Amino acid sequence: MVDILTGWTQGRGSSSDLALIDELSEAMRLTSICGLGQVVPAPIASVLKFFREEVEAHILRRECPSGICFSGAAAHSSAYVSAASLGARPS
Amino acid sequence: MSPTGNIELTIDGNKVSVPAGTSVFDAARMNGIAIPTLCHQQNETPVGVCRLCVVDVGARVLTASCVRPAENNMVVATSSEKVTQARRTLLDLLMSDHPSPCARQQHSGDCELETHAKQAGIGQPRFPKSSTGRGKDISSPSIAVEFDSCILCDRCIRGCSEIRENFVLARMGKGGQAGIAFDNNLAMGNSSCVSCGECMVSCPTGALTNKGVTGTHFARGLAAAETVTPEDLKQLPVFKGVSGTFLSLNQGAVVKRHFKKGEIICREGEYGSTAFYILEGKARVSISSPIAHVKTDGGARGFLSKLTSALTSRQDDRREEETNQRYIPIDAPVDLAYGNPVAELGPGDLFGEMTCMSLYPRSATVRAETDCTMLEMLRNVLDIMQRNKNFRAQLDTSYRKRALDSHLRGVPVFAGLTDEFIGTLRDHVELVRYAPGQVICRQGDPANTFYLVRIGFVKVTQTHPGGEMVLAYLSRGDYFGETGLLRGDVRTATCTALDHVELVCISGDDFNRMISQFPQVRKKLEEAEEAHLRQNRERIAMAQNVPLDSFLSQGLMEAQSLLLLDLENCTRCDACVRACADAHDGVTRLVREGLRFDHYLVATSCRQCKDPLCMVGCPVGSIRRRNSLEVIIEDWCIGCGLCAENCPYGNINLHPFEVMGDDPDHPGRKKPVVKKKATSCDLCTNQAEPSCVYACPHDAAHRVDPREFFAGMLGRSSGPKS
Repeated sequence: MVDILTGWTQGRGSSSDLALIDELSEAMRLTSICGLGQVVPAPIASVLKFFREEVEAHILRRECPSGICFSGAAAHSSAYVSAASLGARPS
Repeated sequence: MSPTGNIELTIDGNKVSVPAGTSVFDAARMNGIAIPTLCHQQNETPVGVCRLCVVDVGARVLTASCVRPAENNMVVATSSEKVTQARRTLLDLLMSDHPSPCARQQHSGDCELETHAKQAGIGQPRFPKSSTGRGKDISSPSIAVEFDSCILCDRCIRGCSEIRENFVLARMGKGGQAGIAFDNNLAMGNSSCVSCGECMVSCPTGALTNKGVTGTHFARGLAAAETVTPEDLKQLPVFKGVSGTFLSLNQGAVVKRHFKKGEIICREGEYGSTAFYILEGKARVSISSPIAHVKTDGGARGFLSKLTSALTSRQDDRREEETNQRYIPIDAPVDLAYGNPVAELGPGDLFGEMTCMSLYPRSATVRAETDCTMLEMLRNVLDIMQRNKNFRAQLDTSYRKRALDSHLRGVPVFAGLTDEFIGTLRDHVELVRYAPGQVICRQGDPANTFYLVRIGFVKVTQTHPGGEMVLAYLSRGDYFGETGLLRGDVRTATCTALDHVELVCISGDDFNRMISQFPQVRKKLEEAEEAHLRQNRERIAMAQNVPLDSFLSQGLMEAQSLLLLDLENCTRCDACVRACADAHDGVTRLVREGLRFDHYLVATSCRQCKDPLCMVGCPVGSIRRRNSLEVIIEDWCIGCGLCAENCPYGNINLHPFEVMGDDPDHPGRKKPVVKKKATSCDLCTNQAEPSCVYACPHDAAHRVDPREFFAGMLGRSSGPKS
């Protein structure tokens, strides 16, 4: 999940990613052993629910409306931190 | 609940009834519904980590059926769209990091992960592959580890710990870094793994696989190995009765080799992990190291004029208390005579047992005497063979016929036994094996058997009010158990197997017959016993008289002579070390490091430990202590360096010598080769004082009798001279 989200901030997203994230979120929510794993997808679900346009801008048009992503170190660190703060990888 | 006490639940619309405590997984299985799983196996405790067996029981989240007990009125869906979709995603995730086709898939096409993925219709994984590989470990002789294929199902860990109780495998690391590890993350080959293969059998993927055995880890540089099928092996009488399943599982752990006349099969001092069984032909066992010890001599022109170290045999330089041992113990069914260390092995002989079971260096060089065919086997095969009664019977017979003689006579005490008597013993002796750590006899038990060590090392300890004391380490050719028998009393010490030990047991009756028939044997045994007892008494008395624990634990009190460096005077100029090196042909036996007592550094020269670890493992039994406790290296040292490695203080060094030896490239011709001999500080006994003491410019180095020297410090005069 971190890899996919980081990819979005670096222009490596693809249109199929949204469905993939949904699928992964669902699997994690349903099958994780521990409660932490089950709620990992929650922040991303919120992002997709309330900031869907922004996400689509990143993936489909490779634009960052806030002007943070796609620019070297800043992009990397902010994306990494935000992605990492959502929880580690599944399993 | 039903009247029978069974649990009743519904699985996929079928009403089923199972005993209380049954898992949902088992409930389904018992009713013909297969739930896919990767981490669950019938013979292991379920852990529910792969999550593939999740089912819908109508709760907030899905539940792993292998760890979920069935409950009354539970409604279980094992393959609803929700469940199968979650499983597909999990498989997709696992496959994204799986090096498909993995080693197992390539080999036998039955990687469980790939099979499940294929059934679920997973094609190209959609998730990004992990960027960092997790590597491989090919250090084990029989099992290859491919960490990339590992799905962390823990099956191998449970196999290792629950089924085999070896406790080698465990998990290590967290999150994306998690993986399996051997011991505390050692390479598998260096770990305490016994290559039982349970992990490999448990592994669902290609993470742990049988090595493409042939040629990769057997002795290198030998004649090409020929694979042997289990069917071929079953044809051999010695494999009769060995489980065919075991043989096919361990296919490749035995290879057949053909050696041409003159070819070398193994060399003394080399490390190995295999044993050889001769099928056809003859082989010659010999020791190519010069049968001699290192002697340092001063030149004619006075002290330090020119000290040289040379090899001397016991004929020329008889050292104090040198035994008359006539046979050199080796890792084969025969012993080598001191005067002519050569013996012949033929069909049916097994050699290299100690190397294979306990990983000691090879004790002798074996060369094909005629063209010959041998089976080379790994430890797991040898182990199963050792337990096979046909094979054991053959080994026993061959031992009785050929080795008992030299083995008994090799012990100087028994040299006087007549052929006739040994003949009668032949049918009575019994070979018994002991596993590492197993107690052979306990202090206080009634004495009823006399033992000769055939293979391995035995630790003899005695319990005293002050604690336990190691009296000796015994190896091949040594004997024990006579004290109790001579006195007709109980065992005076506890004897424990240190490694894979095989003993020749002579019953108390036979022993008594022997000593009544041969009074000279009795006399010698009693003398030897008397000497041991006296020595032990002295050591124990000494240990109990001296109150200083640290002094004792450093073993200083037992020393007859110590090299001390006064740290208040020492400038660390290392002149002592150079002097030592100069005195011994450039090989220093002194390292200016060691334990400290007060303001003295006890430099590394043999400290005559209470527990002499150097004595364990010598493949030819050439290291022992004099009664004065000084270490003595016997002439037949093969220079393998194990004692030097075992000494915790680095007090044993290997001294290289150039001698004429066989030229491996031109059979029959000689060329200079370097042979090593173990040496330890000889205190420059041929000189007025040790060269290190002589060389110290600051008068900081002293050689002292510790009891005398420290007497004041210990607050009592315990030294004999004071």
